[in-house]
Amino acid sequence: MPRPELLDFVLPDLGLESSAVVSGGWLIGPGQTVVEGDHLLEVHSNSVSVQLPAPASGRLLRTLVREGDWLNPGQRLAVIELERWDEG
Amino acid sequence: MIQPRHPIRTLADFGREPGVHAFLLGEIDFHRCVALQQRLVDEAYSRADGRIALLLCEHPPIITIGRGGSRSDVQLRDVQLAGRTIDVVRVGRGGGTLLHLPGQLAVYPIVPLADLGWSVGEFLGRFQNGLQDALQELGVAGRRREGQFGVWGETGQLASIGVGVKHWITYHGAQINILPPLHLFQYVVTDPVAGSRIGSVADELRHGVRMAQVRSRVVRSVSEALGSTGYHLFTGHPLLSQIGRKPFAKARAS
Repeated sequence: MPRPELLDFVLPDLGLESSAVVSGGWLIGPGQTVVEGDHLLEVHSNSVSVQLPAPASGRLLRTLVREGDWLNPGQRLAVIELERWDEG
Repeated sequence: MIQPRHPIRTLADFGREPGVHAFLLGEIDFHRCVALQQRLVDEAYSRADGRIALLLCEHPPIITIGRGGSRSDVQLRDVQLAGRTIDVVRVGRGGGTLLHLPGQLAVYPIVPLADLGWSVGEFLGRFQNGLQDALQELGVAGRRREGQFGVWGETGQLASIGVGVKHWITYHGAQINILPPLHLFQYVVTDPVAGSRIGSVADELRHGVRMAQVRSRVVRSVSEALGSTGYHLFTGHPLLSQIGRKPFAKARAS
């Protein structure tokens, strides 16, 4: 049986050089199905709150940050098990 | 870097038509305005044409708590200001706690960052520049603070910025104090920096200023800062006819 393909969900560079970015709450939980574009996690800086969209469809396998964690661009936030389409 | 859904373009690439549509909404219930913004965010996501919507309005009294604020920022037990009870609601924007009053100009840009290839930081910088330029045109020397978004003057904080981003599209925005009753701000902690106070454009200029005068400057300066050489100006918004007067039975985060 082929191994599932995994994708890291990472924090993109928001261009907020001098502002700390903090993790807010997860908008869905581990094990739940995600569709590309669904909002997964809210992150905050001092004047902005950003809902981060899922980069691909699949299942949220595990989250790697908790509410209140300080974050850096490129940091792994979660792991998504990608949706597989069986080839007939 | 946010990956745009299309090759990176500037507003000029979207054709000869100006990319900013500005809507003057007058005085509008805060929740109704947020419902309108959410509809505009959904529309912008579907259209993917880079068009920017800019809403300008005033709100009846209400206190909003952003992701950086807390209920303890509100000093009064029952939130009674000037003899009447006002709502306190949590909202899905950055920044702290704000008291919204008539006499403040609310400026809400709906900007599709992914279509334009802008980062969140680039948008905030452009927006802040636009607000500062508008105030400068009026004769107000606004200043920035390191690490914060907003505009400060000799009399105190003149503009607060608190933005939300969904689908890489901005909503919420800024509140500019034109001529609000400043004595009411003593009951709300709007800036955690010790010693900061709330100022107004009228106090900076030491003479009267008309809201219409400020609005026109803000539309022009913010449109330029957002990369547009012109704008379309409208009164009201057609979607408001589809949004009820009381869009939420009880205020909730949005």
